[in-house]
Amino acid sequence: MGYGPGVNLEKVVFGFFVLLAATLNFGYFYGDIRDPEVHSAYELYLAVVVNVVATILKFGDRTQMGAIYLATSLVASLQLIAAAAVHIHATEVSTMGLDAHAISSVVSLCGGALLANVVSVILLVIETSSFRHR
Amino acid sequence: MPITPFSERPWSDGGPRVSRRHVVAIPDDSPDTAVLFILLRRLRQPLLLLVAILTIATFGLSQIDGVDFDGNPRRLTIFESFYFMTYTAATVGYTELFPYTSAQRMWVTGAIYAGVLGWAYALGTLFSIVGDKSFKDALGLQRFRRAVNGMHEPFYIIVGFGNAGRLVAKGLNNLHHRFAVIDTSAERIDVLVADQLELDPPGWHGDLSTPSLLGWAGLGHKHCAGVVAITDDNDINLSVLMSAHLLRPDVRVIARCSTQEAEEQMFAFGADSVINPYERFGGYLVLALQRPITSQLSSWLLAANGSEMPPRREGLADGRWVIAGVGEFAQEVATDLTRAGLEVSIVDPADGPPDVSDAVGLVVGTASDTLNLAMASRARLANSDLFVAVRQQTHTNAPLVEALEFDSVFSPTDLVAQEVLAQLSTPHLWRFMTHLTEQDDEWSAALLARLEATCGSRSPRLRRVEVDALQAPAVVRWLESGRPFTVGELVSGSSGPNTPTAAVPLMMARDGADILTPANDFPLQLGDVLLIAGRSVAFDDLDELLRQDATVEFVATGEYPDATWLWSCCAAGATAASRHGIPARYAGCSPAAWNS
Repeated sequence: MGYGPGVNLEKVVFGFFVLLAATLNFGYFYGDIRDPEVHSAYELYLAVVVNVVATILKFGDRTQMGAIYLATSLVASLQLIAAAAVHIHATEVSTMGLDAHAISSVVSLCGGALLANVVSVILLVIETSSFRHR
Repeated sequence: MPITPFSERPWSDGGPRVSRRHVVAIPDDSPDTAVLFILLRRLRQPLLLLVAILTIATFGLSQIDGVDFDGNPRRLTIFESFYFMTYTAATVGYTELFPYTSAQRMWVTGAIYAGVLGWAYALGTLFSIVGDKSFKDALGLQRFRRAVNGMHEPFYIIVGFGNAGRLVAKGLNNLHHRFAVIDTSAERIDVLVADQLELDPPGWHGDLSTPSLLGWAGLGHKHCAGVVAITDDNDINLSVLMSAHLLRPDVRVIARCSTQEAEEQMFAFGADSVINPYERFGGYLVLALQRPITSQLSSWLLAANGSEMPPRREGLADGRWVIAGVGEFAQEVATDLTRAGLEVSIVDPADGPPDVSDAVGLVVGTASDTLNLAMASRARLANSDLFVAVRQQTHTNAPLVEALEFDSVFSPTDLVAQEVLAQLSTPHLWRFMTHLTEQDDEWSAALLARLEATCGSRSPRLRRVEVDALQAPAVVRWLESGRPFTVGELVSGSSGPNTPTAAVPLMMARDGADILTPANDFPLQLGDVLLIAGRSVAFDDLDELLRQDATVEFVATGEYPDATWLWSCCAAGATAASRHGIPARYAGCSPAAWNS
């Protein structure tokens, strides 16, 4: 589309955020699902933020690819926000604290978000490889 | 001397026409109609900035050492920091969650400056987008297209919302027809709301010569019934006509034009009807001069119900005619009058008042109403027998023109609007009037005498009756049973055969052909359409006749059938055979006969 041989900065930024969202998400997800010790709340926080940023980056993109990116990012963001809400409820409201039941809910919600993020990454790979072919 | 003012234009009927060779889709897409996308795209940057500010501020606050209410060391959790930053940066400002340390307060001070700026930027961008003209346009266009797509009944597209367009819109509104309006100027479309029409018609503005605007206005809609191109620009009307004809050949198109060249081009492009107000006026003027009775009859029939007979002017064709004016109007009228064999002189109003001392008629047609009124009044003072026709350009001057009571007033917009409405809403009447202008005075005098004898000296009501199951169920049942029914019987009312008729059949349309004043013994067929003139009383009778089987039978045979089911059953055996072999259900068992 007339970008020439140079690098499209917008695509770089977007690719960066998509990958970062997926890696942060994975980082939080990885570990024993019932053990709060191996799931860092800060990582969850960053995952939420980076996912929201990735979603906003796809606002207003009317291509078919852009629409699917928006959909997957939106799904991941909503899942992660839900996970954060459960986490906050467990630590701040519930009398039980962050027990095995609560942390497993949070982590499984994150697992769902991870799936959506993986789809985003796959889309990114497909788009990049088809871009090369042209 | 030619007798038909309108039919002497050979290009108006038949002839080769441009037709499309390849079917193309009607364009209706636009690059920026998805309003939400525009909004989101432009909000992207402010939202990202806001997210970044809040993220850093929240994370930072959660990392600074603080104390709880008892003075024990305690950092804020991420959620507490986020909560605090949210209400602080949004300038809501509750108190501190715990007594903050100086380090926390320093961080929060910086975070407030950044956060308030972030919010201000995001909200400012949002409001500027919402107030932006292109965003409003996109939103308005989306609303317009949604309204057009939501039409569930036949509708017309009115192209051009000047004076004529407004009159057509009001007329269609009064007739409960739906329509969409497009014009070049947004101000005129705003008037649409102010007109307080019944069904809040959708309207939009744009370049009228682009096919996509027509597409948005519903040219591709399955309910689109017709396109009316009545801007005052011949080129725009022609391009609308071309788009409509090439993209939707099945849709009816009526176009307005002001020159003969434009008229020929439009007919070549398949216009169903072209209205040239100047030519129409010339035609009516010639009609009034050459055949005063026909002219009198046509204006009497078109006048409001119950109007007195208009005066008849004779002897206008022998003498000189003066036309004061320049441009298309003067040329067109002069051509018509010359073709009718009259002596015509065109006078430029700039050369002073026209000399009318030896003239029989004067047509005043400059573009200025004030000048027209002044010239016409002065000419009438100079020659009191003069026939004065005046062109009225704007509606605001209508009371002045009316007060001076000229012999003929020509208002192009009124004429165009009347013709369009007549063609759309009363096509049979319009066809009858067209046929009428081609008749000679003898024929018209006979019809006039007949109408006066039947309906009185006030103008009759006109009504269209279609012989179908919806409008004339009883007549249809009668015809379907194989027995004849004539036009004379239909208009005789319910008083029975061989009684003086109360209504006059003006025209019958059958299989695309029009029969003028069909004779009384003309047999009816299913699907015939009749145009009938009569008084209200006659139409009350007609309504009964169209729906009541018993009345139909009485009118056709002179005998009333047995009215109730029980009686007809009792009498069936005795009399059915003598009733011309009528099946039992026609002898009174049908539901309609129960109430009679």
